[in-house]
Amino acid sequence: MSKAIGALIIPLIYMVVVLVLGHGKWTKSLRLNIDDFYKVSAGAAFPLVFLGLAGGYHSSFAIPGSMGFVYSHGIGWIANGLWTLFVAGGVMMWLAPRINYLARKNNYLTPGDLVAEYFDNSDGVRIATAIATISFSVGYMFTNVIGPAILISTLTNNLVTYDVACFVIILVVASYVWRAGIRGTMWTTVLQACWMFVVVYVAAAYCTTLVGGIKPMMAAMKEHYIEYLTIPGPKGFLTNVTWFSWAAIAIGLGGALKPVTWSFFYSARKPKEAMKIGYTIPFYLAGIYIPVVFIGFAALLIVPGLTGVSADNSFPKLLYDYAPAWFGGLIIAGAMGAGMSTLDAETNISSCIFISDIYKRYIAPGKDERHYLIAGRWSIVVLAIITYIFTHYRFSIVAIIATLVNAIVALYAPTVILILSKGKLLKSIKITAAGYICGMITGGALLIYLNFISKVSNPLGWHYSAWVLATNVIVMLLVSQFTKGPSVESKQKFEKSIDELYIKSEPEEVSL
Amino acid sequence: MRLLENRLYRVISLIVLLTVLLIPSIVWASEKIEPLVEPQIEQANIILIYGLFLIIAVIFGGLLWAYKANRDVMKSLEQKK
Repeated sequence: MSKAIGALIIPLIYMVVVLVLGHGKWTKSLRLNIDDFYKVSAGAAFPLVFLGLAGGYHSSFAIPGSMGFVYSHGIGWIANGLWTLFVAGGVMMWLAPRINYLARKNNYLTPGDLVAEYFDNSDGVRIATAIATISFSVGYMFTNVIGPAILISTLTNNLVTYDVACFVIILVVASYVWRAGIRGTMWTTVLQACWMFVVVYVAAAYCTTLVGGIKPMMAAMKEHYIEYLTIPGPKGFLTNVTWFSWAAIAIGLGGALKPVTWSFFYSARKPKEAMKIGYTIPFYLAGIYIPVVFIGFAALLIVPGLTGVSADNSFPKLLYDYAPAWFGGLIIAGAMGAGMSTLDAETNISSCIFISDIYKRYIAPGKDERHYLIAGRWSIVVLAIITYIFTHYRFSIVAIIATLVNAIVALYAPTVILILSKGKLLKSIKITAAGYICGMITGGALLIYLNFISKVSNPLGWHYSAWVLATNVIVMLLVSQFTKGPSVESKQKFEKSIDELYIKSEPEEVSL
Repeated sequence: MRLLENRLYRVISLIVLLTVLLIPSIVWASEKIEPLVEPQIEQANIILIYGLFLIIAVIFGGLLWAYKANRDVMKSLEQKK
């Protein structure tokens, strides 16, 4: 019991600090309008955008799920991580400055704003994009409560039950997102990003010391678990399906263009800073994966023989058996940081998409700013309740749900890439609103079929997200050949803006 | 004078926060180290004490970095107004 209480002290302190940061005067929540609630219209400082996105990028799978993954499948996690993060970084470097420039110029709030404007403000395109992006975000929200809640109940020996942990996490996040929107999210995520980064290194130092240091640990691994030191791992899991078509396409592309990253691209002060996110963020994210390998190996040597869900929880078990209670508390807080930083950003963007793309345009148009701000805040309450209800299903495989929602990005990413491309070859490809919508519907239907109906989720050794992407592109291009494209004015507007971005030597003025 | 006050305020806040975070943790850790027999566990627990300082330093460093950058942005926006 005393160990359980000890493990709770630091998470409680952590919660208090998060609440202070999320509600403090620096969030400037009293001067908010709807634009400023969902993005920092005047532009946020780079550390806020960088750490805000970095913290929110890693889901609760980072702690303790990734350690469990290494425990089960070995060092191939690094190959997976490299594809996941550096593909995402590359796509961000390429597209983030363009998204930022267009958004600041035309005052976009959601991904749907940009895509719909290209297709002459097509309602169909806006609604299709809103449905895809909101499905992504809501799906991602509850997965980020489950991980930390399980960790809390495990390390406190069920003194704090799973239900209570879920409720408290959601309540804390909803409170500061409700009050301060994106600013509350950014400030709290600075803390969370720093916390989870450093705590994983300290945990790795602790775990490797437990087994006598890195050198003896690797020697023991070589002697007893050599198959863990290479691809495809002891269970043959890390094949082409996982480390390329899953990691690169679903997680990499999905991570770069998921709805929440758009709100950070929109909030960067200038295109150069948005681009800087692309070449800095993979190093932060990969920096977390390196110590994860040491933790996974140490857990394998100290508590071998775990399978299934127990293997996923090998790191919490190691902590519970060996570490002092307060350190367990630090890890709980780190896991809460990983989960809450994603949950708050996803809550914010889900509310934004609903209010801006659906409510403001089709349910209650023509109201004043205050009305939409209140509606936005109520939508956060509803999202929090939905998230709480979903956590009761206790999906055991958080990673699968995370992949499933990431694959949704494959439904709109190709069109976004074509819209924002500068090269002659890509610009010459014809895309139409009908092609975009048909590609999304077909890809979405295939995603549902492969996941919930078909017995084979990954045909011919390729992950379903690769099939969804390919189907979407083929259908989009085919339908586009026979349907009417966007107006010349609209195409020229985008082309001109992108050209301006690369001709301008001075950064774009910040608009207030 | 105002600058001095601000700095003093920050230093005091930092000390208070460090104390609040550190004392219970160190007490807890020192209690845990004593009864342990296996040398690796003992060593690992000592590493945790250093780790705790590192954690606090990184968190404060990160927050300070964000705070300063944000303050500079706000100042430049005020000037543009």
